[in-house]
Parts: sequence; C-alpha cells; structure tokens
Amino acid sequence: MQTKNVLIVSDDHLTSGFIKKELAKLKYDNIIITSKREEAIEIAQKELPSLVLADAILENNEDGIETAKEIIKLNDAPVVFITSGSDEKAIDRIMKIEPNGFLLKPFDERILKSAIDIATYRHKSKKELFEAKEIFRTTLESIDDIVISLDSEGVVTHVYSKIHDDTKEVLNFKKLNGKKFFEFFPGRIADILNKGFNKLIKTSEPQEFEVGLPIEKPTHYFNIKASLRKDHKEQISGITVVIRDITSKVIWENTLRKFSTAVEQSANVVIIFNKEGYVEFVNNKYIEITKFSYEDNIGRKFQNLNPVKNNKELLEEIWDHLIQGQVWEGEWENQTKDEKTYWESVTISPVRDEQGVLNNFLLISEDITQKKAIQQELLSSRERLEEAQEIAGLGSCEIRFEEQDVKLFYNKMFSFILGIDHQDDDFNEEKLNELIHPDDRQRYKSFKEDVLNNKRDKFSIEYRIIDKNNIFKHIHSLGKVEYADNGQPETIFLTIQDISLQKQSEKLRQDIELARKTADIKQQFFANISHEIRNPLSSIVGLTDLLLKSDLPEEQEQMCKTIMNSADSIMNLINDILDISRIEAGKMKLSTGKFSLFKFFKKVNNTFEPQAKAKGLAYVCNIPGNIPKEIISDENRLMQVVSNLVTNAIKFTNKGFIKIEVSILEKIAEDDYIIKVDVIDTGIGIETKNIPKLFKSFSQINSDIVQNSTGSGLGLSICKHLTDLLGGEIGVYSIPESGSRFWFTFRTLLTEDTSELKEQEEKFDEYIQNIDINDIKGSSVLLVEDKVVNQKVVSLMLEKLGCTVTVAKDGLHAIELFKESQVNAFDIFGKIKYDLILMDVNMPEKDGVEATEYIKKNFRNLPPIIGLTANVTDEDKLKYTKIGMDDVLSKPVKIETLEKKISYWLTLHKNKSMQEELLSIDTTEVEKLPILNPNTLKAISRQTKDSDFDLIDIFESFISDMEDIYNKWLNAIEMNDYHFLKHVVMTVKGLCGNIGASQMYETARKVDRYFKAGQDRKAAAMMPELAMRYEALKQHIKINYSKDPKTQKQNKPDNNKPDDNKSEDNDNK
Amino acid sequence: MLSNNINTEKYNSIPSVDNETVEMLKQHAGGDIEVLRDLFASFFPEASEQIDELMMAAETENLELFKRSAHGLSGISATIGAFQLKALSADMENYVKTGNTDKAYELLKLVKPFYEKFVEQANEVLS
Repeated sequence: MQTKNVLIVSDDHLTSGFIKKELAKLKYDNIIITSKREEAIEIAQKELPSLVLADAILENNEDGIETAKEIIKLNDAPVVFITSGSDEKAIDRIMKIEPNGFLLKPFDERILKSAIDIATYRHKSKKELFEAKEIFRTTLESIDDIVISLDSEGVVTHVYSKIHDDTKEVLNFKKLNGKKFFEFFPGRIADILNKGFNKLIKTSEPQEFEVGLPIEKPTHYFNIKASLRKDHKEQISGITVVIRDITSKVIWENTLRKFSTAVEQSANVVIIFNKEGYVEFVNNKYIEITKFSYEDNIGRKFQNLNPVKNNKELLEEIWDHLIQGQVWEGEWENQTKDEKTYWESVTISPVRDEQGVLNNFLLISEDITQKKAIQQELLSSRERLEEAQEIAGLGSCEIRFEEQDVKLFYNKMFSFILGIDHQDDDFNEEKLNELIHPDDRQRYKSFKEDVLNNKRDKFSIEYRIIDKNNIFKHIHSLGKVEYADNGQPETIFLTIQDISLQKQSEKLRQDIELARKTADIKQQFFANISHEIRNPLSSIVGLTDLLLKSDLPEEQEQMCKTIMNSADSIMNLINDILDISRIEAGKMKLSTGKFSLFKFFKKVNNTFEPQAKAKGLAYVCNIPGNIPKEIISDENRLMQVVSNLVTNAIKFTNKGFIKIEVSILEKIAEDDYIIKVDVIDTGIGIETKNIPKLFKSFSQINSDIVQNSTGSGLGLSICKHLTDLLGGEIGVYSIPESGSRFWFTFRTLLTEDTSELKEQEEKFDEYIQNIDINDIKGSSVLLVEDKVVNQKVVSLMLEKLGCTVTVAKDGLHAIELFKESQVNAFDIFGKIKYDLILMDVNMPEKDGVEATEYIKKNFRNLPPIIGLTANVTDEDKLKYTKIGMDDVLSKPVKIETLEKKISYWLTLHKNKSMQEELLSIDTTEVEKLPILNPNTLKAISRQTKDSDFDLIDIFESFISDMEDIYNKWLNAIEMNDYHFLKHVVMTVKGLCGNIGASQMYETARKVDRYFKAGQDRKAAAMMPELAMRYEALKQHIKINYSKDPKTQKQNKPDNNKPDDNKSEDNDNK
Repeated sequence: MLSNNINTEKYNSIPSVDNETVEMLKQHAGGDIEVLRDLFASFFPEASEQIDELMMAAETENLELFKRSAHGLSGISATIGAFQLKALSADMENYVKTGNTDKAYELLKLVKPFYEKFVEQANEVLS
C-alpha cells in the first residue's frame, strides 16, 4: 500500500503538532514538519508527499506562499493553506496559486479533516479535468474534422480546426467565431441545416447532413453531424457540430459511378477476369449478347468461354500475351448460349494495381458481325465486279498521280489483255505507254496531255497495242479523270477492252456479206448458164433422138447413142450443181401438194423398169395396199431422191435385181404417216468404212468418192438434204459384193407443233455432224430392260458399237447397280462408271420413269439417261424428258439411231465436264513450257541417228506442212468456217505433238478442247494466239535449226527423203 | 366372229416375220446363226408370257395390266421383227388407252394365231 506522506510547512509549532496528532489518527504514517523554506522544498522534492499543509508566513519571515508555489511545481499533491485569515492581501496572493483548500485558525479536528478531504477531492478533480481537456485537445488535433460548438442560440462559441487561425482560405471556419453558424452557408443549405437543427432540438437525436458548397471550385462537399449538448441539469446548453470535408471522397465516388455506368451501359462487352482466369465481372452488354446470365458467368473461367474453349492454340497465344503484360488484340467467332454465332473484335489488356502487380485482365469486345458481313459483302461484290469484268473482258486501271510518282492499280483482266504478269510490281506508266503501237503512240500521248491539261475529263479512244507476248491487239479505252482540289488531275480511271475480235469480225462480217452476195450471184449465174446450157442441150438431145430413129449405119448409131448418153450426163450434172448451189445459198425450198403415191411409183417404174431390163436386171416394185392413196409432200423432190437411188442401184448392179419396197413405218395421226422406201439391189455393194461418208454434205465429201464415181457424186448428198427437208432420214445397209439396201423415210404431212422437239433434233443433227464415231468406243452403258430379247439385241448392238454393257433386269436392279458404281467409282477412279443409261420405260419392279426419277433425285453427276419405249409419240417424248430422261428412243431400236444418240449424248456430256475444265485453263501455263521439248528432240535424234535424214529435215517438212495448213486456216478464219478450223487444229495438234512443239501443242490442245466443248467462237478467238505460237516456233526453228552451208552438203543428197517421210507421217495421222 | 368396224385386213399386208429385221439381227450377231437362234429362243417364252398375261388381264378386266402387257409384247415383237404381232399389240394398247376396250378385246383373239404363225415362219428362217 502506498505510504501517505504529509508535509507540514509552518512555524506555528502548536498548530503543527495538533495537525500531526490528528493526521496520525487518520492513518497518515509519515508526517514531516518544517518551518524552513529550503527544507520544505527539499523534502517535497525527496519525499513527494501526498498532502501539503502550508502556512502563509514562515520562520524568519520567509514567504510561505512562495514556498507553496514552488512545492506545487515540484510535487503534484493537494495543498491546503493554513491562515489566520487576518491578512486580506495574503489571501489574494494565496488564491492566485489556486490552493486546494484553506484552514482558518483556529480549527478543530473536524474542520481539519474536511479541509483535507475537500482539498484532496479538488486536487483530483482538477487533475481529471485537465486530463479530459488534454484528451479533447489531442483528439481534435489528431482528426481532420472541424468541431464547432454553438450555444443554444446557434452562435458559434468555439471552432476547433487544424486550419491555422489566420489562414485566408474561404473555408476557414474560424471566421465563424461569435457569428451565427447558418450565416456561413448559402440560403438553401442554411434552410436544410436549420430544419435539421430544429429536429435535433426536438428529438435530441444527432443529425447528419451532406452538403456541397459551391463557394469554391471544385465544389466542396461536407459531411455535417450535429449533436445536442446538455448541461448537468439536462438542459440544452448548445450544439456541437462536426464538419468533415468529404470533397475528395465524393469526387472519387462520382468518378467511380461514372465509370461503372459507362461500363454497364457500354455498347461494348466488358469482362474482367483475374490471374487465374476466373471471371469477376461482366457487363450488361455481355449478358445481352451472349444470353448467359450474370450468375452464369461469375466464377466461370475465361479459359472456358466459347471462343477459346476448344481452341488451345488461340488460348495459349492470348495467355502468353497477357502474362507478359502485353495487350492482345484480335477477332474471333463467338457463340451465344443458344448457339448463335457472331463475330467480335476483341482487346484484352492486363490491369495492374498501384504497386504494378498484375491482378486482373480486362476484355473489351465489339460485335462486328454486321461489319464483317458488310466487309464480306464488299469483298464479294469486289470479287463479283472482278468476275464480271473478267467475263466482260474488261480490264480496268487507276492511274494515280502522286507527288513525284505515278502509280498504277489494275485488275487481272487488265494484265491479261496487256499480257503482263499480274504480280509484276515493276509495271508502270512508262511501260504501259511502250506497249502502245508506235503508230498510235503520238495520238495516245497527245490525248493524255489533253487530259492532264484539263481539256477533257472523259474520253473514249481506240488504239492498237502490241502486248507483252507480241500479240497485236485493238484496244478500246474509256476513261474518266478526277481532279484534286487544286485542279490538278489526281486519278485517271481507265478501262481497256480487247476489241480485236470485233475488229476482226467487222471485217469478217463484210467478208461474209460479200461471200453471201457472191453465193447469190453464183446461184444466179448457175441458174442462168444452166438455162443457157439446157437449151442447146435439148436441141442436141432432140436431134440426136431423131437421128437415132432414122436409119443409121451401126457405127453412126453407136456414136449417136454416145452423144445421147453424154448429153444426159451433162444434164444430170447441171441439175446437181444447181441443186447444190441452191442448198448452199439456203434457197432450197419445198413445194408441197397432194398427189397419189401409186401414180408416183408408176412413173418411177415407167422410167426405170426399162433401164433395168435393158441391163438384164429384174425389176420389182412392191406397194402394199395399206399405203395411203393421196399424200401431201413435194412430189418433185421425192422423185429426185427415188430417181437418184434407183439410178445408182441400176448403175452399180450388173446382175440380179432391183427392188423397190414401200411401207408405212409409223402412223403418227390420221393422214400423218412416216413412209419408208427401200431400194434394194444385188450390185457391188459398199465397203462398210465408206458408208458414213456417203451422205456427208458437199463440203465434206471425200474426193475419192467423187473421183471414183461417174457423175457429179453429189447425188446422195443432195438426197440427204432433201430427205431432211421432207421430214425423214436416209441410210443404207450394204454387203460388199452382195448388194445394197438404200432406204429413206419421209413424212406425208408436215406439222409445226413439234417445234420444241425439232429444236432438239436440230441441235442433235448439228452435233452429229461433228462427232467422231470413235467417241463412243469403250463407253460403258447400263442397259435397263426387263425383256431378255431386248436385252440381248440391244446388247449386241452396243457391243458392235464398241460399248461395254451391263444389264439391269428392272428399275430396282438398275438403281442397285448404279449405287454400286457410284461407290466404287469414287473410291477407285474418281469418276462415274456408267457413261450412259438406256432405260426401258415399262418394267415391273419400278418402271423406267420411277427409276429415272429416283436416280435423278439421289445422285449427282449423272450420265445421260435415254429412255426406250415402243409406240412412242411426241407427247410421250415430252413426258419422259420432263421427268428427267435426256432423250427417248423408240423400239425397235436401230443401230444407226442408237449410235447417233449415244454419240450425241456422250459428246454433250463430255463437253459439259470439258467446259468445267476449260474454266480452269490458265494461259500463263503455256508460257512456262519450252517452245520445243528437249526430250522429244532427243528421242527424234535417237530415232534418226542411223537414217538418212536429221532433225533439220524433219523441221523443214514440218514447216512446209504447216505453211500449207496455215494459209488454209487463215482462209477458214475469214470465212468463219469453224468446221474446217476444227480439222486444222487437230492436224496442227498432231504435227506439233510429233516434233515436241510444246507451247504450240498445248495451245492447239486448248483450242481443240473449246471446239469439242461446242464453244466455237471461243476457240476461233484463240486462233490468233495459235498463230502467234506458230510464228514464235518458226522463228525458233529458223534460228536454231536452219541448214547452214556446212551441214547443207551433208543433207543435200537426201533432199527427197524427208518428203517421203512426211507423207508417211501424214498417213499415220 | 370379228365385228365389222375393225379392220383386220390391214394386218394381212404386214409381214409376220420382217426379213429386214432378221437380216439386221443377223448382222448384229456377226452372221452367227447360233446367236440369232438364241435371240429367238429368248423371245418365245417372253412373248408367251406376255400373251398369257394379256389373256388374264382381259379375263379379270385389269386394264392396266392389259395395257402394260400389250406394250411389252409390242416392244419385243418389234425387236425380233414380228411385225404383225407388233402392229396388233400396239393397236390393242392404243385402243385401251383411248377407251376402246371392246375393240382391244376383239383384237386379242388374233394374238395367238399371229404368234403361232410367227413361230412357224421364224423356225423356217432359222433352219
């Protein structure tokens, strides 16, 4: 327990003693008494008494008050003064040092005790008050808040603020001291505060306000808290106001709010995820777009988001960027919750905190689906434009005049027309100018100068160029100039079009017109001279006839007969020539009318029976009873055909018979028949290989035939034309040495309502003209036919035509076989196995119609399907072609028709695929080939090593062959004779192949392919290129393989040899 | 037996076996008579079957089957050169098509005789 020291400073020993005695009773154990000042101070310092009793006057008149003052400084203990109370002045002085108590002498022990108690209490209170004050002070000092104390009237009594007293800041609340608190605030805020304070007074509940003071920029914000102060009697003594400056907090909050609103309402998707990839935030846009809810996403990993979920590479790329603190930017295709895809442009940035530590990643993305679509649209429309330009053969170019420089931007067609490499970066305006034909260059230049000098802003000009491949071309250019703000030309938009062909065809048109006129004149001429010849010829015939009837010596009679025969020959010849010239001029027309077939054949018999009999031949003409009596046709033309055939029959038959058989081939309708006439002989017959040549048109006639027969040799060709006109066909079976059966059909009534079929027939005929019979050899045919007889017969025919046949016994079987062929074909060969399907229409188990429909529906790249049916009418044909058959053949099937149809459809079909192939032809490929293939040259050299001729001889004969062909070919181009051109191209291809002229061969092959695809015009348009290749080849050969004098000596004796070789070569082709 | 409005005369002018067709078939067969015989051997049972079918179709008045059988018979007859049979069956088909069923049935009576005639003549040709 603490010792209770007491110090008594007094010179009044009596009093001191009394006090000591009394204090001892009160359990003070250490009571020190002194009357000396120095001693008192020393004790106070040493003993730290817990109570001091001090007399005002000490020994030697020392000042007790001063002493007490010093003791108080040294020792914190209650001090009680002992005084007699007589000296007023002394009391005043004592009060000044704030003693804790007084003892007025005389006093008793009770007064002493209460004085000590009060003093002790006072001392303690004083200390506590001081402590409280200190806490208050230090608290205020340590906070930023301003504390203002108002009295009950609202007048500011105290302002506690860290702000220095004399600061001039507007917000110096210290200025408020002594003023009404509200005055400091603007009216509106003052009102709020007033109301609040009233409420405070009423309810005693502390009030809180947040106010913004626009007294300074930026607006300052304050949090004001007001509490009621009450005195010890619970009476309101005032209000304490604590003001806190929250400006920075408010500003921060506002900023944050703005940011957050911005992010929330952003048109872009915002995702925040952490280092581990866990998504911490997604904004509304993301939810709106992806349809994933906020909950779906939070806690989900970035790694599991749609675009990267299954794209490991992308994820790694992004992650690499991010952990290295780099921003990743890109585009990806995203998927919504309901699996709709859309495109996004994405930026992912790492986010670091203040310490620079990487904590989060921020993904911002924009839906660019539409943009992308527009881009795609733009791209494809640009592509389409390119395509359209390509189709139109339109080259386009922008010439941009930039500072110091002129730049060219052009499309593929432009480079194609100019023959330049599209990738050639070095191609410039100067080089463009160089391509222009020297004769046109000046004109082009002055034209351009006009443009550059603002004399014109649109132009259309034609000029010639010699393109990079040295091909001469006519060009038409359209142009438009755009000017910069300063009036200088900025860009010239230029189109170029190769109009060589137009130029050429312009010339050709004129030529054709001329040719047509010439043909007209020719025909007129023939008509005239034939008339002129026929008149004297009639005289010759008439007079000779007279002579013959007169009595002549045998020798002269014989002469007259010869004259007669010769005159007949001339007459026939003239008639044939007239017909052909009519046919050529397209002037052969029918003149139809009603006549009797019986009478007609009577005439025939009257004419030819005697002739046959005269040759010792039997003559029969069978006309069945069911033949219509009167028919409508062109009697004269019909007679011409029959006469021709019968004349030939008699001519080529030396023994046996001549037989004419007439039959109805088909009754199409009442009065509408197809009638067949057969002219059968037992003559010398015709070699099978010659049969196809017999009916070829005039221009195709092999000279052999013409030479080997007497007469014009035009008869059958004319017959072919006439039977065409008569709505029929013509043909022949023949066995050499046994005889021939010529037949033809004609229609008795020509109607117009089958024009659609006619059109196809015409197309068919056109193709037939150009078909190489070998085309169908080796073709694979699927024959679908339920009747074994038909299977066998048609198979025989097909095999005879060189086709391989697979038979399906009904539609179902056909489908099975076809399915199999598809599977196998694609696995092994990559092409369809059956080249053609012959499909019987009527069958059990899926008929031909159903099977065709099924195949058409379920397979692609189908071979042609030709229907087979008996009793076929035009309506049937239409019906079957409508369901997908390509053509219909009527039963009984004839081998000629079968061959023609198959050839036609196979060619058409092949052409289809060839056309597709043609689209992919690249002209620059040819350039990459050598002019002459070194391997072929080596092979030729090897072959000719031991012979009498060499490479040079071969080239010489090649050139001589080519020169011959070349002249004809130029002529054919002028005449638009595609047929001949086809022939030329095939020959050229062969010749070039032999000597390894790769570039020319390849070009010829391309032209050939165009021809075979039926694209005659395109093919013809490539002829100049072929000519160019030929010129190049000729030049090449001239430079590298010409005979110099030294080698000439060696070759001279064998000059004839190469020619021999040449003819052999030709035979091989 | 036949009603007057059908002209059966016309079939008389049509050869039962068309020599030209046979000739042509011979050519296709490369002149091999055995191949030719084989062709005919395929024809006979098929033709018989079609004829049986025709009869049955007529009995049961199954016009669809009748039409189909007539068409089938016409097809194979044309191929083999049985022109009389071909003309007959084509006419039957056409009659049914145009609703003249009675006429078709009338003609049906000619089928068997025509067929038998053909078999006879064909055998001659093949021998």
